[in-house]
Amino acid sequence: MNNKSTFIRLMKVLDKRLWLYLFVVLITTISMTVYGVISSYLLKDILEMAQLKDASKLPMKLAINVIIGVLAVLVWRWAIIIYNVEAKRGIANLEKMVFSKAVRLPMSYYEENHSADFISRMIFDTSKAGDIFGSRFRRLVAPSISVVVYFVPMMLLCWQLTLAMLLLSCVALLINSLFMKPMKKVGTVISKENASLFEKLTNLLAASDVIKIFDAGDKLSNDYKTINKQYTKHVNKQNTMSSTLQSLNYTLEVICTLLFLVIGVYYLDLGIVSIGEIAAVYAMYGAFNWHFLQLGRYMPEMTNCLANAKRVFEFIDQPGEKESFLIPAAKSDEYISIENLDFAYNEERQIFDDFSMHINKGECVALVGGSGRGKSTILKILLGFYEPQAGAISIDGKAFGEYTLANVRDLIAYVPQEPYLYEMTIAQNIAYGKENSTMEEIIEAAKAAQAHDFIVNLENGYDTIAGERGNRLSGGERQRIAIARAILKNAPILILDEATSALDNESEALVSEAISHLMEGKTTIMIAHRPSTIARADRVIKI
Amino acid sequence: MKKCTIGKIAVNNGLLFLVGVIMSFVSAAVTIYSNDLVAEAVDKVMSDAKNMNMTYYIKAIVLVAIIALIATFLEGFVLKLYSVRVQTQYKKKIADRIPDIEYAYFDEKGSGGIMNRLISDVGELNKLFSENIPMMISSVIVITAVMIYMIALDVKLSLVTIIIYPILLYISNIVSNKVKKLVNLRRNLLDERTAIINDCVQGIVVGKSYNLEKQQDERVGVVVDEVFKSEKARTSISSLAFVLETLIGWLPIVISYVVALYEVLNDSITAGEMLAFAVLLNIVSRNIENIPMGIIELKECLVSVKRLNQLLAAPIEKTGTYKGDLDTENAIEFSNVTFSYNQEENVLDGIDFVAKTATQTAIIGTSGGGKSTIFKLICGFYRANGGSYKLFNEDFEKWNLKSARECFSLVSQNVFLLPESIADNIAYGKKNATMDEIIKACKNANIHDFIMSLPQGYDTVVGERGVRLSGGERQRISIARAFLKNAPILLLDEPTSAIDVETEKLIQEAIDRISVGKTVIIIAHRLNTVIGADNIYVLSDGVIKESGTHNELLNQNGIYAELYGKQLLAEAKDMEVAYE
Repeated sequence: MNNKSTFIRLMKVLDKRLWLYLFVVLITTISMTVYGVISSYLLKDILEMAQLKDASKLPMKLAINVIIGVLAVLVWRWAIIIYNVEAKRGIANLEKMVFSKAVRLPMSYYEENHSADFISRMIFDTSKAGDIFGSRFRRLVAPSISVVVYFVPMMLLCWQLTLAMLLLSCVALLINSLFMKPMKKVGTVISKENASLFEKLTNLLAASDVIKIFDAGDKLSNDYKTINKQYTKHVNKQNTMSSTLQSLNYTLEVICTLLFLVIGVYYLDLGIVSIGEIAAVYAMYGAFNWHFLQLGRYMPEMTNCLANAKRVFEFIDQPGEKESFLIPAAKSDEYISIENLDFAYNEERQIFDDFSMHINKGECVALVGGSGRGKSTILKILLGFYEPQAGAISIDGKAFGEYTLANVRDLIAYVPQEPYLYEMTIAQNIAYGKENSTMEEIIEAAKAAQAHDFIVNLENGYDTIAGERGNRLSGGERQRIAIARAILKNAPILILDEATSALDNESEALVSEAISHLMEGKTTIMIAHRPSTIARADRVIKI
Repeated sequence: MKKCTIGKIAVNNGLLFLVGVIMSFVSAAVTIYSNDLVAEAVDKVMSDAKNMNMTYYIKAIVLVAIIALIATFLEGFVLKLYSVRVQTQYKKKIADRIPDIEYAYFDEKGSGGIMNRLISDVGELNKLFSENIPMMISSVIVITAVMIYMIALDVKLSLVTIIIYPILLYISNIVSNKVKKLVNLRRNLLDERTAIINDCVQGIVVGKSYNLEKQQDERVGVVVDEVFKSEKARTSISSLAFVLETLIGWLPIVISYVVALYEVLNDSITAGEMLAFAVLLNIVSRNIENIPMGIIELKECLVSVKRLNQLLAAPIEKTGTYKGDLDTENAIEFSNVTFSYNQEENVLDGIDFVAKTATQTAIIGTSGGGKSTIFKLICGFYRANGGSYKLFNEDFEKWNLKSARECFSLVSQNVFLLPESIADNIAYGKKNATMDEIIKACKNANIHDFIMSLPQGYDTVVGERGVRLSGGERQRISIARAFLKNAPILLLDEPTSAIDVETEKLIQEAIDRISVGKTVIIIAHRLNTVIGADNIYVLSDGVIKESGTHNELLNQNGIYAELYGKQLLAEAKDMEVAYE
């Protein structure tokens, strides 16, 4: 994806409002430029009156200029509001696109990528890309339009002078484009280092207890500082380049003054132009070149933002989770049938090699085996989190491949080893089990999960925020809320990953009872290590 | 402790800043001078064209061009260097400070807020120093230099300019205060947005298994739309401000032209001077337009600076100076300790217990009863609200915190592994640990074989929070760390509660090995683990209800006995179950 296609794609994010957006960018620019031209014409008129020493036409000329000027500014305001609104709308669209992708990636992505890299990329790059709508685009385009709008009257007043000055402005533009590529290169390196910086910073923040107990503060902060050194080096390099560019631009402007002097005076001498005309050209050239300078200044920044936008689109474009896996039906007709399964995570250890497992409807099966042998993995495969390299799976007579992953997940209620609670109220956390659930249903589920009593004893009851990673609640309490969620879902298949091992004997007994009720009529697969839990199963499968 | 702020850092680098400012002034002088030359030339042409000495003018402008080249380069470069220095120094300071910040600070704020703060505020800090400040400096200096020149040229004319512009700035200040409120609202909404995203990504397993994608889209969409709405209000106000400023800014120009005209008609100034004046007035006008927008941006950035300063000022863990004698009878002693998080209900309501040196002490109780909190107090993550905690016979508050923590190894339920190799993760146990030491620790922790079974062995990188490893594997890595550290006090937080029986044996073996000669405090609810302990405390409703050895507690026929009874029953079932 090159800059041009990235840019076009970014503009398309504005959707139907794109034309309105472009239109108001045009209007804001033209109205402001008209305001600038009027000011120059007023100067021209005044100077001519000064030269001729005749102020009779002053009131009329003054009136015309002022009225046009005020109108121009009012039109500008109308347009700029629309501009800002549409730009922010575009940013919101982009953000929603990115965030929507963020939760639809394949499971392997989340396990491979550090979440700080993820989030830093999304926020930093999206906001930089959004900057293009909010300011960069206009700052790049506006000068281009302004330059044209100034050019016309300048040519009319004294084309020789104008052309000479235009030539110099072109030299300036050339110099600017020469700087573009190297600056972009450094810009990309800086972005990467920035993301790395935030990963290191996140470590510092998240590993609080490790840092304090193992006195790891020095090492982690040194990691951060080392990368910061690199980062600083590159930023300084970038700054040297941009400062050089800026000073070259400015010097050219000064050389322009020389040109004006020589040529302008020459023509004045020849009587081809009046002093008022020259002054107007010179005044407009001031604005003309200032906008040219803007072009030079904002191009590299626009390019940098496009680099960010490119990363945003790369993120959005990467393959999301598949809708379904191409897994054929198993030959046997049990409720859940897995046959000849091969699976390995990436190039690492092979977990399954020609593995088979059959589960009848309504059965409760316990999976046992040493840690790391694949018990959690088989559950993840059933949930469609990972795609097996080979094998056949059927659920309820249908091939796994005939279901969408979403359908499969609808059939399964999963209570993981370390249950995650969202930063929302307990009620909302449980409510995620079933769309549009009522409070009664939530309470009923909580009661069944033996969670209702402790929830009601909390200060805000069901409205208590579960806190970051459910921090304030104990392991057992979090488990029970997760179980309530699963109960509410009321799916035909239940998957419990060491669900009751984190509870003390008291709560475990209560939850066990609840789960037994729940299991009626459902097919259950549990991973449990404790023989007492295993005892509840109809059958045990060793992996 | 000297209070460090970004302001102080900025001032410390003041010399660099000064150089930049001087260069900025030189650039402005160049602008003025070249305009002055033009004015002079124009007047000459109009009065005495034949005797124009063009070479003089050409020489002058070439000289000026060279100075401009150098001065503007330095201006830009030096101010940017300044910006980089300030930011780097700030980053160093927070990197150094964060490890020492109180544990409770992160608990309360929630790291989503902190992350957004860091990400966008550091960005704002960058904008402040590398864009906003140089622009404001440059504009202010140009305006000042030009004003001085204009006053020297014609006082009456300059007066008009001088009067109007302060009024402009006053009006913009009023408006920017209104905008500031909206900016703060937006900041808070952005914090919220990041926290929500974090939340959704961390909980992705739940999100996928419950098909929550649509709901999560909505959840994010709501806050993104709120940000959008607040932007609408902000635009309306700030654009109105700009219109007012522009029109009010134009007025002096129009008046100046008219007044200038009359001055020329009166022969007070020449036409050339009038031209120069007009051009410079436009320059002033353009730069003054930058100021209100610049001030608004400045205020936005200062909000970020304030928050970053708050981070710098975050409370640091208190430490004493005692580095003591570890040869006492009692390792840890809690007397009537009370504690609550954030003035909520007391989690610990008067706890008494003693862990004697080189013994095994167990604390059991219902989940959520406060057992983990005890460990947090022992490690000094939180301080007790009341009562006393003595470590090796000295008040914990008096201890040097680092020295105190050297005494502990914590093996906890939520094992945090950094996104580095396994060897590096374990190496945190001891500074400059050799590979041999690491391997030895892993062998003792019964995890060496597993590590060697991985294709990259000890160099295998573990995902965030060690995602790819099973619970038992992560526990053992945590134990290996503890082995490496070899601290006298071992804190075991439910070490075998999430493990299968086979691994449990491995872990129990490892624990037995490491417990030799150490003071062990173990929190568990599985009584198997604690039967052999020298002293068992039963925690319930925030107080210690019973204590003693296993047999003594059975004889007391209380809570412990009941729990044990239930356990026996479950174990009996164990004997009956035979699995393939």
